[in-house]
Amino acid sequence: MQKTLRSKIPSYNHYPMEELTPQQQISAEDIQLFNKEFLPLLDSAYNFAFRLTLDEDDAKDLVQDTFLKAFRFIHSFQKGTNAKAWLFRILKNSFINDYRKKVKEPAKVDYQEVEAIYNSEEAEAGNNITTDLRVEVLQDMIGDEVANALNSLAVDFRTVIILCDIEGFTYEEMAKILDIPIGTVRSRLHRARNILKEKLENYVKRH
Amino acid sequence: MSTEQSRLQRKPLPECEECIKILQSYLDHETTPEENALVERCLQICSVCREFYEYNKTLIEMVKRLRKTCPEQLAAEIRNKILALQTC
Ligand SMILES: [Zn+2]
Repeated sequence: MQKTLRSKIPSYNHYPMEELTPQQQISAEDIQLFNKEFLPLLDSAYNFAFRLTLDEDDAKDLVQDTFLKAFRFIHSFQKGTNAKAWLFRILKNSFINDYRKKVKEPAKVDYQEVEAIYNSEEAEAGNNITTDLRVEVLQDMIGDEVANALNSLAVDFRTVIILCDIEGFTYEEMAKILDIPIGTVRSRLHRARNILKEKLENYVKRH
Repeated sequence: MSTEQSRLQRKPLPECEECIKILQSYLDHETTPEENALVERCLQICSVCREFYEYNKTLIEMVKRLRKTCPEQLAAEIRNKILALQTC
């Protein structure tokens, strides 16, 4: 299994920023670039938007806003760099600025605290294996159960799982999209998967 | 495999702690060649790490299947809006 996205990531200042003004006239070359590189990302963008907002209407609005914004700012996209990472960063920023307040969070988490605890736990990682881990039990679960468990994670935790496990971004790409250090991506992702496992195991125990 | 062998293989090895620590990064292809070698050595001989590996791998595969696709109507709306911006 190989990661599909290994192309160069632009530095932060090449992503569209709020202070930039949209280009009035978009060149034919940029239009072609947008149609070729960005429009095929509609499915991925919708999937990410839905998992962030957990609401179909909000996800639709967020995807639409993201694509219109990306089109208006296409001149600031560096050709040859990772179009998907660029688009996802716009989507993530739009979500934080315009939608996050609306979303009812399943759990409030102090991430720095959680990550600090997790990093100290990671040092004693040998203790992390429990006898509850059974592949067969996991395989018996239906998609809805996994989806419910995933949706019940705090948004920052489900974000890293979506970006890595569904969209195939590397840790470096995720760090750029989320504006966090790679070490934080790693610990947040590992923690998120461990919480997801706990939720699924608790579900099995209850049923 | 004898009971004796399987029992011995469940006993944590000195490498297990490190193996478990980097296993998720290994599954994400984010480990160095040296780390890959350590994990692969451990997975060959330790059933505890193997179980942990299989469980994480299955979980990731199940999450991967949750992908949603963009509703056709939305995709068409966005394409039309972009087209309108392109032609104005
Ligand atoms: Zn082991």
